[in-house]
Amino acid sequence: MSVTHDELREATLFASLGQEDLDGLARIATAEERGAGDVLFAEGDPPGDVYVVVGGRVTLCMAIDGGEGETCFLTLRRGELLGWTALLRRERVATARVVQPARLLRFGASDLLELCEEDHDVGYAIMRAAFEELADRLQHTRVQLLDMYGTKG
Amino acid sequence: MSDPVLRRLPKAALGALIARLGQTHTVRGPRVRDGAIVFGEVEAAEDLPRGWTDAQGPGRYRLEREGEAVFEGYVVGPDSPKRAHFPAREVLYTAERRADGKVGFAPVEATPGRTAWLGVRACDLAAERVRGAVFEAGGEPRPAARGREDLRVAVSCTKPGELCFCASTGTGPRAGEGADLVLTEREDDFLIEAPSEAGKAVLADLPVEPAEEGAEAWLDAAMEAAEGAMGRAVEMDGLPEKLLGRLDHPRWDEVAERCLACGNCTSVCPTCFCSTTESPVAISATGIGTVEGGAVEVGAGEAAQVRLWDSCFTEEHAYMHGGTLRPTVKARYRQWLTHKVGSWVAQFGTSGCVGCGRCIAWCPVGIDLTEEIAALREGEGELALPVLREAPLEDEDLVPSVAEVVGVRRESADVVTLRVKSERLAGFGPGQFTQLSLPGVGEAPISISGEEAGAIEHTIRGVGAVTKALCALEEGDELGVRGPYGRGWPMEALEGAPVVVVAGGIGLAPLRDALRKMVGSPASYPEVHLVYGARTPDDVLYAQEMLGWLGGPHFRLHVTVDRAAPSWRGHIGVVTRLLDEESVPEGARAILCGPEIMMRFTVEALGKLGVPDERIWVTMERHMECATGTCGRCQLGPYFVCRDGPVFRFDQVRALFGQEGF
Amino acid sequence: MGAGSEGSASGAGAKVRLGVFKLASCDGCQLQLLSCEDELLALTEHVEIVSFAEATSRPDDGGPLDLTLVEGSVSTEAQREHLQEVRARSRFLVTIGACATAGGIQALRNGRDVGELLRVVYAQPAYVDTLAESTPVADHVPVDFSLRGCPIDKGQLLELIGALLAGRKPAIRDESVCMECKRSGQVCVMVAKGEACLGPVTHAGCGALCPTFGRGCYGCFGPKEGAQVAALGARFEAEGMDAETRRRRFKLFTGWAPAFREESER
Ligand SMILES: Cc1cc2nc3c(=O)[nH]c(=O)nc-3n(C[C@H](O)[C@H](O)[C@H](O)COP(=O)(O)OP(=O)(O)OC[C@H]3O[C@@H](n4cnc5c(N)ncnc54)[C@H](O)[C@@H]3O)c2cc1C
Ligand code: SF4
Ligand code: SF4
Ligand code: SF4
Ligand code: SF4
Ligand code: FES
Repeated sequence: MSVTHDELREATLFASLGQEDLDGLARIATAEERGAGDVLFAEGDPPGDVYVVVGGRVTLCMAIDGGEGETCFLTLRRGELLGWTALLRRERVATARVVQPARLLRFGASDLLELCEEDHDVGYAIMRAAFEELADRLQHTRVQLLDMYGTKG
Repeated sequence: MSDPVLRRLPKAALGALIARLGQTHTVRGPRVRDGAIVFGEVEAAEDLPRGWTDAQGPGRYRLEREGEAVFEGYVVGPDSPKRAHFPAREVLYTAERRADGKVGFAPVEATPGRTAWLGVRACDLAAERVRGAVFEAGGEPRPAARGREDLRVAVSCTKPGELCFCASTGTGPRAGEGADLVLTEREDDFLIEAPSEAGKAVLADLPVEPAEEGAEAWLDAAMEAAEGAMGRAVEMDGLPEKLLGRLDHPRWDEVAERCLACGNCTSVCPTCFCSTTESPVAISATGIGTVEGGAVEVGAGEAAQVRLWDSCFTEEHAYMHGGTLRPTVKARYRQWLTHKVGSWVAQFGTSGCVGCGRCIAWCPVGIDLTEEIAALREGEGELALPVLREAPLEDEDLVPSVAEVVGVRRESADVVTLRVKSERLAGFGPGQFTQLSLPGVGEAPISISGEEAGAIEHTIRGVGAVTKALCALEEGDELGVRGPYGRGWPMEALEGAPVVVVAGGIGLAPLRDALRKMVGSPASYPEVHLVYGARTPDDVLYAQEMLGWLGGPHFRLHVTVDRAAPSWRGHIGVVTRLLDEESVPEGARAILCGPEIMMRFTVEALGKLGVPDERIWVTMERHMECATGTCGRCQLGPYFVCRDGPVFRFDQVRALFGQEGF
Repeated sequence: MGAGSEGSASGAGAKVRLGVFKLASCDGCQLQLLSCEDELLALTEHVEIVSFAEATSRPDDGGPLDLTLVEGSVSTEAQREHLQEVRARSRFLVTIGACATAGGIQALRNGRDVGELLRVVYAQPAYVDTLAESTPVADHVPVDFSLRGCPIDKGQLLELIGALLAGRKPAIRDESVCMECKRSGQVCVMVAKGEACLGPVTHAGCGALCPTFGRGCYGCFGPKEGAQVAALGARFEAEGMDAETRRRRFKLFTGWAPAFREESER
C-alpha cells in the first residue's frame, strides 16, 4: 500500500519535515492494515521494524510473574511511535497487540537509521521528535508510578 | 459611643470597684503565678500585682520588683481571655453508638462565664474582636456565647512594653472600643470612663469624682507619648501582597534554621484559632474534657467530640491521608506568618496580629516576627489577594444530625456507595460535601455523589479509620451527618458551551451529580465529554450508569486505566493522553476532580489545547475538621477550602497551586 | 502518626487477645497498666489477657495475639529471639515506654565499654550474656505503634486500647510537649525562669508533667517528629549553658533516639 504525505505528517515523529524529506520517507515506508488481536511483535523478539500508528489502537503488554499473566501498561494511538527500541537494536521489551483494527506505517529500522545518517538535518529533526515523544512517555510513567488514584481521591 | 466625661477614681477605691464587679461577676484580673502575670481570680485590690514589672525580650520574660503601680508596671503576659472564650480543650457534644447500630448526639451547651475582666489591654480587646470575626463568619456560636455576659474593665497602657507594637497595628495603646470601663493609671489615682451602658451602671456605684480640668489633654498627651514609646514597630502596609508574593524569599530558610516548630507562638497568640478534634470513647466513666474548669461526664461506652487548640506548626495540621502537606519547618513558619499578617486580611477584613508581642516573648528561641517582617519587606514580588468576605454562615454548632443508611452498594474492592436518609442534606448542590461521622471513630469530609428516591448518596473509598468504618456500615445502621457545605460546580457558567469533565479515581464521585444533570439536559449542555482515569478496569466507578449515559447523543465517554489485563480493549495510560482536539472542543469549559498531580498535568494539557485558566474549575482537598471556616485546617493561602471551595476557578488558585506547604 | 497506626484489632465480637512482654527494663510501664484498675475491669469484657507475667498466673497458650505490648529494650541474644517469636504471633505490636521505643536508660551504656560496665555492675561478668548495645525494639522487628515515656502515661495507654477496640486511630499526637503545656495554661519555665527545657523538641503525652512542677522537660517521651534539636541546643548555649551540660541534657532517658543522640555527641 502506498503511503501519502498526509499520513506521514500524522506522525509526531515527522511533523516538522518538508515535502522532499517526506518523499524520502515515503519510499522506505509501507502501510499495513492489521486486525484486532494481531500481535505485531512479542516480548523477547529480536529487534525488527519500527512503526507509526496512523489509526486504531495498539496495546503494549509485559509478562509478569514469570510469564503467567500479562499486564498491559500503555495503548498507542494515531501519530504515536511504536517499537522504537528496534532503532537501538535491542530486543523487544513488550508485546504489541492490536486491540482496535489499526493502520500502521512500517519502517525497516536500518532504512530509517540510514536515512537519518544521510541527511543529518532530517536525522536531527526525527531524533528530536522521538526524544520529545519518549520524554512525555517517561513523564507519564512517573505519574503512574505515583499511583495517583491509589492513595487519595 | 464613648462617654466624653472623664472621672477620677482614687487608688484607694480600687477595692470598691472590685467589690462592685464581684456583685454580679467573677472578677478575673492580673495575678502573679509561676513567675509571670496571668489572669486569675481577684477578690481584693491586694491580689493585684502592685509594684511588679515585667522585663520582656525575645524568648525572655522576668518579673522584677519596681515602683508602686498596680497596672502600669507591666503589660500582657502569656495568658489572655481567649482561653476562657475558646477553651484549649472543650467537649462539643457527647455521642453514642449502640450495638444495634443506632447513634445519638447530645450537644454540650456553652454557658456564659459572667466574668469581669479587670486589666485587659487595648490589644486584648482588639483580639477579642478579631476572634469574634472569625467565629461569627463560620457561624460558631460558642465563643461569643461564653463572653456575652462578660464585663471588660480595660486599662490604657501609658508604658508600653519592649515587645509591644499596637501603635503599628492600630489596636492600642488606648482602650475604648469593646470596653465597658477604661482605666488609665496615674501616680495617685485612675482616670476612668465608661464607654458602655453596663460600664455606666458600675460607674454610678463607685466613689468617683469629675476629673480635673485638663485631664482630657493630659490623657491625649500620655497616649501620644505611649505610641512613641513602643518597643517594636512594624510597617503593616501591603503585607498580605508582599508576604504571599515572596514565598521563595531566603529569609524563610533562615528562620527555619532557628524555629523549633513547637507551637508556642500560636498558643499564646490571642487571635490564633486553629483547632483539631478527637473522638474518645470512655472505657469506664470519666470526665473526658474540661470546659472552664469543669469536666464533662461521659458514661462508660459513651463517646465525645473534643475540640482542642492546634497549631500550624504541628505535623498533623496539614495531614491528609498518606502524609502531611507541610513537612518542613520552613513551610510551617511561612504558613503562620503569611496567615497571621497576610491572608487573614483577605479572609476577615482585618490583620490577625494585634501587636501584643506575646509570640516574641514566649518563643523559646526568641524569634521576633517584627524582624522577620522587616526582612521580608526587603524583597521582590507581590501577589494580589481576593477579598473574600460574604455573608456569615447560619448558626453552625458542629453537632451532627442522625441519618440512616438505607442502601449500600459496593463499587469496587475498596469503594462503597452509601445511600443515606437525611433531611439536613436536602437542597444540596452538585459538588458540595458533608461531614460524615461515627461516634468514637471520627468525622470525614465526603462529597455528595447524587440523590436517588429521596436518599443522598456518598461514594467512599476506605483508606483510614473513619472511611473504613463508614464503608463497613450496613443497611439500617445510623451515622452522623453535617452539611451540606462548600461551593460546588458552577452549573450555570457551564451552560451553552462544550463541557470537558476530567476525573481521576474516586474523583468521579464529586462529579457524578453534575454529570447526571448535564446528561439529563442536553438543551443546556449540548456537548459533554467525560475523560476518566482509574487505576485498573476493576476500579472504574459507576460503570453501568456511565453506559446508560452513552444513550444521550451529546455525551462522550473516554476512559483510561493505568494498567489492565490483555482482555481490556480500552485505553491504557495517564488521563492527559486522552485530551485532544476531539475530547476538548473549541470553546470548551473544563471541570476537574482528582489528585493534585493529575489536575496539574491536566491544566497544562488543557492550556495547550487553548482552554484558559478562567474556563477551568478544579476541586481542592485539604485536611478538614469543621467544614465551616473556623478550625483553620483547610487553608490554601487566602482560602478556606471548606467554604470558598472545594471548587475553585483555576485562575483563583493558580499562584498557590502546587506550592510546597499550601 | 506511627506507622500502620490505623485498623482495628478487634475481631467480629470476639475478645481481643492481649499479650504483655518484658525485655530489659524496670517494670514501671507494666505497672502503669496494672494501675488502670477500673478500666482494666471494664476491659475484661473486651479483652482476654493471654500472656502477662505480672498480672496473671494462667499459662500462655502460645496462640496468636491481636494486641501485643512490649516493654523494655533488647540487651541479650535471648531477648532478641524471644522478641522475634512474639512478633511472629502478633497482629499489632506496640512498644511501651522509653526503653522499648528508644533504648531508654539501658542505652546510656552504649558507647562505653560493655565489659567494663559489666564488671562494675555485676559480680560475675562471665554469666552475663549481653549484646554489645542496648537497642530499641524497632531495630529488631517491625513495630506498629509506640507509646512513649518513662514510664508511659496511663491515659495514653487506655486511649491506645480504646482506639483499637473502636477501630480508630489513637489520638496520640506527635506534637511538642509545649502544645500540652500551653493548653493546660502553664507558664513556660524556660522563658520565665531560664530553666533549660526539652519540651519544644519532645513528643507530647505526659501532659507537660515536669513544667507543671516548675522544672524543664527531660525529654523522656523522646523526640517529636522533625525535632529541631540542634536549634534548641544552640539556644541553650546562647543562654550560657556549657557544652558538657548540654550534652548531658540530651543524653538522659531517650538519648539513643537518633535526633537526641546527634545533639549529645556534637
Ligand atoms: C471536600 C472533600 C471531599 C471529599 N470527598 C470524598 C469522597 O466523596 N469520597 C471519598 O472516599 N473521599 C473523599 N474525600 C477524602 C476523605 O475525606 C478522606 O479520605 C478521609 O478524610 C480520610 O479519613 P480517614 O479517617 O479514613 O483517614 P485517616 O488517614 O485516618 O485520617 C484522619 C483524619 O484526617 C483528616 N483527613 C485525612 N485525609 C483527608 C483528606 N484527604 N481530606 C480531608 N481530610 C482528611 C480527616 O479529618 C480524617 O478523619 C474528600 C475530601 C474532601 C476535603
Ligand atoms: S502574632 Fe504575636 S504580636 Fe501579633 S497578636 Fe499574635 S502573639 Fe501578639
Ligand atoms: S494557621 Fe493561622 S490561625 Fe492557625 S495557628 Fe497558624 S497562624 Fe494561627
Ligand atoms: S500591645 Fe499595646 S495595648 Fe497591648 S499591652 Fe502593649 S501597649 Fe498595651
Ligand atoms: S517561632 Fe518560636 S514559638 Fe513559634 S514554633 Fe518557632 S520556635 Fe516555636
Ligand atoms: S476551616 Fe475547618 S475545615 Fe475549613
